[in-house]
Amino acid sequence: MSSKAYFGGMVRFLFWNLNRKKFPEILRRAVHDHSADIVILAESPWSDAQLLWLLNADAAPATPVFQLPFTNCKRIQIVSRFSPNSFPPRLESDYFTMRSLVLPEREELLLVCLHLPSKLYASDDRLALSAGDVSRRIRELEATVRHERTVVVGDFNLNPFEAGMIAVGAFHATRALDVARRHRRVVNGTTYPFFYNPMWQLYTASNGAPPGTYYYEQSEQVAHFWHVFDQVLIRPSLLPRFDHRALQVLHEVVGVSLLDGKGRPDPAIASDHLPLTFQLEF
Amino acid sequence: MKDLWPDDIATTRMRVPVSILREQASALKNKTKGLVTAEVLSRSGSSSVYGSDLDDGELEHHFVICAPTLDGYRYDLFSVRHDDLSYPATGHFNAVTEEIPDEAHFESWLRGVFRHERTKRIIHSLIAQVSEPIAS
Repeated sequence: MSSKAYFGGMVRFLFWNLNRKKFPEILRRAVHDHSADIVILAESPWSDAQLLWLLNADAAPATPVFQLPFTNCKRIQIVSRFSPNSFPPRLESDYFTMRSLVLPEREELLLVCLHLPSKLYASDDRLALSAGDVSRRIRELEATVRHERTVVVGDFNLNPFEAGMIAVGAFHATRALDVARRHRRVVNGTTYPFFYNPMWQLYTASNGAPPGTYYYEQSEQVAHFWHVFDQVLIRPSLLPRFDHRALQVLHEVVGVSLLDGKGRPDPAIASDHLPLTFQLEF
Repeated sequence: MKDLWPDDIATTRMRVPVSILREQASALKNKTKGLVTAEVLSRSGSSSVYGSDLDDGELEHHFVICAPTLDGYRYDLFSVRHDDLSYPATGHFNAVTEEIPDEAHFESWLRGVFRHERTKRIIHSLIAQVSEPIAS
């Protein structure tokens, strides 16, 4: 079966910060039940071999098995049902991997998977990079590959409303569809492309879903409690291909709640982060 | 006119970090016979926009490993930051930040980075990837 026939034009992504914890059955079910084609993990405790064994153990017949694309990024682990040859890395660091997704008869995508430094260690990681640095690298790579069909997914360690997500020199990610559709804007003579950030919809969700992907309570005067550190951003050119309804922060996997009695991510069950799934027509 | 300047005012053996980094990029290319190369990407605080954490006058150099035959694959290995006086500098590698007081310490720090298992692993993996099609 060709990959084109199997995927039927829809690519499904799952991102999860595993908090260095092993919960094999929940992870396996999350991947399979959501038909993830590309699985992106941060803080993964699994070796590459263990992860392949886990996800391919009971692969359905005629279903492409998960394979490991080449990467040197140590904070991100990726498995994909696509051939590693169709998933070449372009630019990497300890914190991100930027790669093309090239399938026959499809337009190339640029997939950026990242796990930015934690605020807890920001002083030590200050030099490593900033949101502005990553954003600049993305723009440079887009100029090299000559398209802006770019998806950025990962643990940003930033909330959607923080300057690192919104500022022009950073990710420049807007919540407003009509603004994103302008594609770019000029500030002080320099043109900056927009990202669209669909994660804002978590703040207005009324379906009982948790209002974030991570819960952290500080004894400070200002506390947000719920954070949306795990996010996906898309360039406006991909808006027609993005299924808003398919964007989900999972709080349950096959009947198993990932939340504790207070409705917060339960590290005793799985991770202290909730997983994120989304899909693109491709 | 009296010349008040000392005779050795124009004589210095100090090399700025970016010069040393470029030399090492060249050395890597020679050592791997061009299979793996490196480039030094620099930026300054004065040209920064919001989102950058460089101060005015600060310079930052990124040492980027390249595999030209792997479709231009690049890996941002480490960075060095300093003000316009070159030293002291600050190096960041493998999630560890170190203060570098002078050129001698910079060379010592670089030697440690280049011999680090992480660096070897990245370069070896690239050489293996580059060599694979040739071997098959």
